[in-house]
Amino acid sequence: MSQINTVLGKLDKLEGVKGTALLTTDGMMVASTLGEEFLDDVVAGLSSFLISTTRRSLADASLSDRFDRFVLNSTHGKVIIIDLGESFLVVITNQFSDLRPCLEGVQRAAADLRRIAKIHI
Amino acid sequence: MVKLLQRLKIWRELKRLESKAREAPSPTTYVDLGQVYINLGMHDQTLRVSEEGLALFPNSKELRKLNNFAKKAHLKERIKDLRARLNKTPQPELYKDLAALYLELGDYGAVHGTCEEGIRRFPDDYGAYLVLARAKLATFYRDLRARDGAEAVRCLGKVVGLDRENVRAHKLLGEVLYRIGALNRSLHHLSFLRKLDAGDFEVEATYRRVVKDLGATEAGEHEDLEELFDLVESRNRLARGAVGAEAPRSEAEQESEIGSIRDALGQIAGIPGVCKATYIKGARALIKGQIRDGRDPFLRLARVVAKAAQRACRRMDLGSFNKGVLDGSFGHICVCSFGDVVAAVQCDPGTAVDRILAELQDLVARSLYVSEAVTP
Repeated sequence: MSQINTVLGKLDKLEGVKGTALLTTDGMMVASTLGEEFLDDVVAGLSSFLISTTRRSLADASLSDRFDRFVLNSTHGKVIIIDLGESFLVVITNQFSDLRPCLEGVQRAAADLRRIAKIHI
Repeated sequence: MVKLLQRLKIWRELKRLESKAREAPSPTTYVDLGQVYINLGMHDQTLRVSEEGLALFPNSKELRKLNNFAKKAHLKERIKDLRARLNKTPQPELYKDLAALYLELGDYGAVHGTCEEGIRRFPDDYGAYLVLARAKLATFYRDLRARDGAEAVRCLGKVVGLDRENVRAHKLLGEVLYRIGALNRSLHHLSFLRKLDAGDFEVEATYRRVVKDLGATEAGEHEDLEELFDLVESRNRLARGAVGAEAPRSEAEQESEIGSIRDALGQIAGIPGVCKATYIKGARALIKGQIRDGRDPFLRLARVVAKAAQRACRRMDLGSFNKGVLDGSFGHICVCSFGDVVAAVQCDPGTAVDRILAELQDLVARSLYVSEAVTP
């Protein structure tokens, strides 16, 4: 667990990142660095809703039953969702953050989290 | 034992209705499914079902009713929860969230009371001022009472004083000042917003409109807000309409608008790597590329994903969703959305999506400007 927190903590220090969360596919929060600005259960519930709706829509369109990455831009922030298999990494940034360097950091963190999950299994 | 059997029966019915809604979607199947969730007291699920249904059938009155009911029930549950947390440990964020929920519910008295209490306890926090300003703006636009408008501007001024780069406050100020006729003051806030974020369609559209109107009128540098608000109240109408409001258009104008959008969509579909492209406005859709017809599942995918993203961003307090990219073994799906317009593209794995996304954004923005340009 402390390894997961270290990875999320490192990710949280990237420029523009407002918070990170690791969720199970059914919306349970495993770990998070979400500040006071966000409520853990709100982010978990809405991310889970978005992930399940997207997965179902992809399956209905006979494309796939999962996705690798979903990047959303909105007027006051950006959200990056990475599918880690049994869990999801959610990263929230401010609206001005440059996504290119941020995405590299997020992919690195995702690889670390996958590795940690394997060790635990 | 009887209760257990009843529950099993309900769950079986739910499963049947869920698959029916997926296999043969219609407003009735969604309403039936929502009704079962209401009976179970699962308002979150009712809301999800109604929003999924509305994404596919945006003109259905029954689904709209179901959605309103689910929203209200869901809001009341959240208000109860927040009230309990606030009684335990008062925090500025909780006051802001509670007032925002009352605002969504339309209970302006409760908004006022909650904000006043929040401001009294935490005078340096802008959250309650912002919600109070939104409530005052809502009543100002409804009743056109000068006092409400002036109070809204005062509260928004407080927000900007406490948080100089507050995008939402500058946006609201830009709009209300434009609509009462204080064009120079409105332009000041919109220019500031453009410096903060150049890619916001809404700001860009309002900015263009204000610049255009400033060029057409002889607005002086001096704008007395009190006078302008009084004028709105005495005339019982705003000096200017909403930027996004569309005037009735002739068939020829509509056809030329659709034609230009169709051409732009065709160009996007012609970019190497793009296999499907669609432009959806309300219940209508244009399609290009490898899409059979209006019943192609890609259209449903674009609608549902855009709607879910809009809901998630809004509820996470991140504002309006405007664009997104979904990556997977299927390649990339780019979605761009503004208001009731959704434009989406599916492209092969390895395709560079930056240009496609920019073109899609341009398409959505263009359709906004086209409708705006014909507004008197």
